[in-house]
Amino acid sequence: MLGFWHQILAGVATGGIYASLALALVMIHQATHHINFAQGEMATFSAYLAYALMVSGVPYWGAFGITVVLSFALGALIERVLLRPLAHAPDLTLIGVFIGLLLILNALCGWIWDFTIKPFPSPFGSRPLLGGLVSSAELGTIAVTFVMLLLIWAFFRFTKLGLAMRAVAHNPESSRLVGIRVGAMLALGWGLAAAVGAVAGMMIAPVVFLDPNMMSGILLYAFAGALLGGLDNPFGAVLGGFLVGVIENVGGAYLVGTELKLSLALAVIAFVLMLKPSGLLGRAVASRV
Amino acid sequence: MEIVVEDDQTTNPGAVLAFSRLAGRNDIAAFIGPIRSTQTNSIAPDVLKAGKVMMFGGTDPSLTHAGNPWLFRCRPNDTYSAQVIAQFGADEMKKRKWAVVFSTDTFGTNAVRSLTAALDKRDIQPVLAQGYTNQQADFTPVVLAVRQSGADVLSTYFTYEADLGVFARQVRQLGVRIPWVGSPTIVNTTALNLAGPALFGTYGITDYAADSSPAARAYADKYEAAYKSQPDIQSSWAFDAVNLLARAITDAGSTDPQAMRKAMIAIKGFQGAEGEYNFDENGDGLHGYNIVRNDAGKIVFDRHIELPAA
Repeated sequence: MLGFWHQILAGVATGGIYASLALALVMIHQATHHINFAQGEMATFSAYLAYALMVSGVPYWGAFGITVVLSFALGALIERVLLRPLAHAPDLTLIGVFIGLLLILNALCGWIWDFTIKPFPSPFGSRPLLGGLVSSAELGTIAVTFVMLLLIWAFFRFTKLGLAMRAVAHNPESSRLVGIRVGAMLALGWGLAAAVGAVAGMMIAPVVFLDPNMMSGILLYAFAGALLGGLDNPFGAVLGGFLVGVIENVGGAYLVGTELKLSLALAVIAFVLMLKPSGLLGRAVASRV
Repeated sequence: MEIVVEDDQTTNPGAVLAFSRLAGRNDIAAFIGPIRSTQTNSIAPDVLKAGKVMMFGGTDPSLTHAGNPWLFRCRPNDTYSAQVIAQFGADEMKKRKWAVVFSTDTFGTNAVRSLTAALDKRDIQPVLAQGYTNQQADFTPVVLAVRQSGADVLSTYFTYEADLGVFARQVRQLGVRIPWVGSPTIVNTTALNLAGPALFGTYGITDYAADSSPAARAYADKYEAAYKSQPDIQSSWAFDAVNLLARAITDAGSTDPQAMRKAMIAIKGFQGAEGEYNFDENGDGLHGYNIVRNDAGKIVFDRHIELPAA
């Protein structure tokens, strides 16, 4: 029985990593109704920016702050340069653009900083806690994820800007009619998602090490977490991230073996989505046809 | 000699594409392929079609036993790694309860088969043989399985250094303290850099160890002078591959593929950075491994175990 609880706790620790990236995915979906397949690579690029700053002598928290600001600007720039001209393009075109962006950013990271795997510092250290089941870096990631979650919730719930962004995501035409600058809101959405992704990247890099492909194994779990919890709900994304972490650990240990743990997690998600397509905490959307 | 480089991106499609670009050039006399077995396997049919010598570093035994006459391995294969690990762990350390953790790719799956067979000859069945898929963010279930297995020795076959780094940290984090004998990734410079103290005290088998021979030491000195860092298996086998190709071309007196192939098979007693090359009819040049220990981050050579060609 002790082993079972160990697996649960370890799953929660890993789930914190998935949750942090899932939050960035939900952020962009909530602001723009896009599913950004390049989110993982954008977060990786941001982590490399932080790495470059630290190598050049900037202290950790200085690099952290500068990276968040630069990532925000980069996200807004991507929306302005790449996506705005495609505002009325079909979904398939946008998917192609996101995949292209993923490949470009991945190649850029390798080209600028090379493909050698690098250690990345954690502000929380890497001390084993709770009998070694959680490291201080993992616990720190969970704490940061919750802080981001609260900030995002407060932003969308209590600020006029957040309300305007929600309005644009739900109905851009009506929003424009009431005077909201739709283009600026979309750029802001991309910027915020990139900033959240940057924080996720800097939290994940110390755990899995920094390399251009560091998100390849995590993005799928983060997507699964976001879909499971609900793509339009930040709380759902975080809950989904933790659930995916626990499901893969417990299922891997007791049901299918670690080789098939990803398959199990995805099977559970498919089952949940069949029963509740909007996810556990997502709202079902009815549209007039 | 001129070296033409194509990036295989450490992926099977990348390897196939890179090789097709090189094979399309008539002025290329021979190839130096990937270090990963999976990628070597993916281009093996194209090498056969190209009909030119390819030196490679993947250690899956089946690569040189599938009837492809153009493949020449510059590292000892995993039949030998398994025998050396079993000999060291079972015969010398007297360990009977083995936990084996391996990547589920071509390299890991075949390597663990070889190790299981080598242990079976000593009437030992592993108490745990745990596979994992590459590029994991978390190895906690695997480490907990090792901890709960009651094993008194851990053996690992990891493909990627980052995976080994994450695993090593979690092994220490979860308090697993049994002796650990790993495949060559455990002494890879990148893995040592990533895992740091988490790998202190571990044993590894490796084809390249700086203090294993005068040729290995000479290579280490040259590498350190050029790159200001320690060499490892990632570069040593490729260094030997270039020198072996030069020797084969000299011995053959031409770059004719058949003549080069015959000259390569005839090479005996070649002192390379990896050890003494004696190519057998399968295309395996090396038949033994070094045992080393991670002494607070410094890789200390223990001994070399040479085995009969298999």
